[in-house]
Amino acid sequence: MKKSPTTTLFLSLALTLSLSLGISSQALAQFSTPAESVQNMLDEVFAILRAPDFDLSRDRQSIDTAVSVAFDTNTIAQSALASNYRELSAEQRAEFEELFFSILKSTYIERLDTYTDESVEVTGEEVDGNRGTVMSLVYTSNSEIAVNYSLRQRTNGWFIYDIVVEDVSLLSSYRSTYRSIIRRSGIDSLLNDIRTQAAGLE
Amino acid sequence: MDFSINKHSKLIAFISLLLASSLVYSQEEEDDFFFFEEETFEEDIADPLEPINRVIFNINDKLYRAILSPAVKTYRIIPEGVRVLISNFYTNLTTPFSAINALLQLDIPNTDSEISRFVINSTVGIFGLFDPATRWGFEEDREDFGQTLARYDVGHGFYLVLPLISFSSLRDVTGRLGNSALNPTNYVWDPELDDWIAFQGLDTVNDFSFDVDIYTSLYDSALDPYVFFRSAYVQNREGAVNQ
Repeated sequence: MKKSPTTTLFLSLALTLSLSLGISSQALAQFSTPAESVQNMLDEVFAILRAPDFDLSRDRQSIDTAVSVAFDTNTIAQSALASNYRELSAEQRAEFEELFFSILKSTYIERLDTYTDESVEVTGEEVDGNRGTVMSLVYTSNSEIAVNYSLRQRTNGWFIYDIVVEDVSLLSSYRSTYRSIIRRSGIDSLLNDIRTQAAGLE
Repeated sequence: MDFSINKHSKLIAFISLLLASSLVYSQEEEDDFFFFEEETFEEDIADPLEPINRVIFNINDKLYRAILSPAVKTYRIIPEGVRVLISNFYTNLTTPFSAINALLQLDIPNTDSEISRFVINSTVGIFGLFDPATRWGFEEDREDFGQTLARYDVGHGFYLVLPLISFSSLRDVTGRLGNSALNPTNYVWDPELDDWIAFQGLDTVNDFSFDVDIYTSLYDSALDPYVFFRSAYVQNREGAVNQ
């Protein structure tokens, strides 16, 4: 049963992000619809999590290696910085993309082993040009969590760039944070902070 | 962090990651590049009390780590099935004011549904420990007084971080006071302060026992956690209001 919004929020974000970022996909698999792309990801992550010999510290490497195949790291980076993305040089863009995604992975894969009993159901999809939304429900022991995936169509399939849990967009939250830092102390300062943070996670 | 991972294999993995990314994106058209260029991102919420809010946010964070988090870890000895019953019990107690708020929002079907939920779960569900109402088609759709105020176009006002209670806004704090006034336990129980704290404390600890300490992960990943959680709070409340 749904309790305080804050608790639901924490639980939901943890659950979804851990499940979603812990994906093992076939290299450059092609999925013709957003729902297929998400469903495939969910199937794979649950297969790994529910393997009898699942061990996070051992399986983390294979998970980590395959993550970028399901996610559109380039779009994620653009979205996190919005118009500030323009101010970056090509090198800075590539660096930010790499560091930000590695921070997301480190944060959420860490929690993967706590989720084994939950189940997920893909409940629908909407496509608007090259953008897609996939709706899903995550069933936990005491609640039902609405999770939407935002996807972008690239030439070789659909890739996730945002996860919206109980109306909270992960990227919007990071974007607000980064915008506030940029406004206060500039984009170079943000890049430095991100470098420091990523180095601390290594 | 886990230091057991071999540094070299991590490096190799990372290089293959980069190669995979370049394979994917090298074919993209330049005019597609600024995918979000046309989008505008508005301010989350007014926050004139930010300096004070930040102090309280930091105190709450320390309290969470020092008291709530360890308490929750110990509390998890209680089997999950039992914790779900406790969760149901507390949720059921708040159903009457959800019904009243649905009524204030002129949402008659939901008012009816929330009243039915309370009656069914308090009786057949044994004082709310079980939730047969959901199985019988009365889905939970909670409304609080903050949502009722929003329904009548009352804006957030400004952002507030409350000691212990955490994220809120002027509107939602008002809503919280309204909720407390309508809480049915007020009319049947006039507790001593320490009993009341124990009662609320159990609810909080039980509630967090389903959580997996994601709070600290998000906190650590956010660079400026204060802004991160402010944004998340506003989005979550907007979603609840629009439902």
